[in-house]
Parts: sequence; structure tokens; C-alpha cells
Amino acid sequence: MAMSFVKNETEAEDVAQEAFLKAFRNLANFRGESKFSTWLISITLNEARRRLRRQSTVRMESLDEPPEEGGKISPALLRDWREIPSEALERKEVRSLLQEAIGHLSPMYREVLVMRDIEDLSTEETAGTLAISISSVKVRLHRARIMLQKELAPKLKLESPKKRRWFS
Amino acid sequence: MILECKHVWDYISEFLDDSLPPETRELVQKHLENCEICSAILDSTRNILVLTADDRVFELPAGYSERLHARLAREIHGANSRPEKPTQN
Repeated sequence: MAMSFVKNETEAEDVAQEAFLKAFRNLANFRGESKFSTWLISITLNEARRRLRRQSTVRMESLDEPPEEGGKISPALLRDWREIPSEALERKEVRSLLQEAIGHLSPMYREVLVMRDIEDLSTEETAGTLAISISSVKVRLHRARIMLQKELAPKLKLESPKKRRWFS
Repeated sequence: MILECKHVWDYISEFLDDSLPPETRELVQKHLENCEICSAILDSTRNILVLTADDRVFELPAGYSERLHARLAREIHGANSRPEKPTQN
């Protein structure tokens, strides 16, 4: 999770370690109102946000960033889609494409996508952790997914197996 | 009621989560059966999400667990409050 929020591996490891340490120090405050994993994720999220805030003076937001939950996001239009097998992830270029696309999402969309689609939290758990409404989770998730599709589908299509090398 | 493509795109995410009301889901399903563009959008979105969720996308760095355990061990033993100073000869 930390890796999807901060840009480099070392910093992500710092975020994750700090989150574990904070969880350890605050273990007595964990009351079992949520799953332990959800609690740990919320601590990691806060730590990642703290780091990003600290860097915000040098970090520029994308100029074409979509407005908060407004406007329309259109997907990339394709006439056919050849399934990209998970074996494709053995290739560094494919992993990099995915990491970059997630990194291009603005934090409000990335947070929801990571919690729902990577950490597998429910809509309700995501809403609770981020302190936003369930409908906001759904809207942000939809937009995040379509933005990923829009960026990745044309690029991954070029990576699709033509030479059967992934099936050999 | 017939859905246009741009309306179907609004339902892609909830269609994937199977959280649409049954009547809406049926309308979207019917559209998908007859529209290769929307089917390709749905398939590509689903496929991309499957790939994104794979552990290999954000792999843990080598030695991560060992370093984490070492740091937790230092915390447990209170070593954090007494940082070691290099010995001077």
C-alpha cells in the first residue's frame, strides 16, 4: 500500500515501518471496532499522507487533474480486447506501466482504488477509513477505474501477446 | 428503455462490483451483448483491475521483513530511545 503512495521504494519502506511502529505503540488503543488489517491500513494511509504533505511544496499537481467528483470521465474506446494474462507481470515494463498509472491518479482517487481494489476493503470499510460517504467511495472508485482503463488500455494493448511467448 | 454507450460507461464500475439494481444490470447486460466497444471497455477495465491487484505490481523489496523485524525488536527493547553512538578511540 505504501508503495502505491510514495514514489520510491526506500521511502515506501519507511512509511510502512513507521506505520507498524505506530500500530505497535498504539496497540492498546485498538478496540476491535474494525478489522486489525483495516486499522493498520488507516495508520499507513495517515503516515503516507503526512509524508506527501511534507513534500507538497515540491510536488506539482497535474494540470489536467479532473475536478472533485465532477465532470465526465470517458474510457479509452476499443473495438476488441485481448486479455493480458497475469504472466505478463513477470515483465518489468508491464509492472512499471501499472505503477505509473496508479501514481498518475490524484490522491483522492488513488486512496479509494488502493483500498478497494488492491487491499480489498469493502465500500463501507473504505468510507469509514477515509471518513467519506459510501456514495463518494463509489463515485471516486468508478472514476479511478475508468482513468486507469483510459491510460492503460491503449498501452497494454501494445503489450498484448502476439508471439505466444507468454503461453509457451 | 435502451441505454446509449455513454450511459453504460457510467455503470461499468458498479457492474463489475455486481452492485447495480437488477433491472439496470439487465439493461447494461443487453447493451453489452450487442456492443463490441462497450464489451471491450468492460473487459479491459476488468482485466486491468485484476492485473493491478496482483502482488507482483508492488513487490516488497528484498530484505524488507528482516529490516522490519529488526526495527520492531529495537522498539520492543527500548533501543530507540538510546541511539547508539559510534565508539571513539
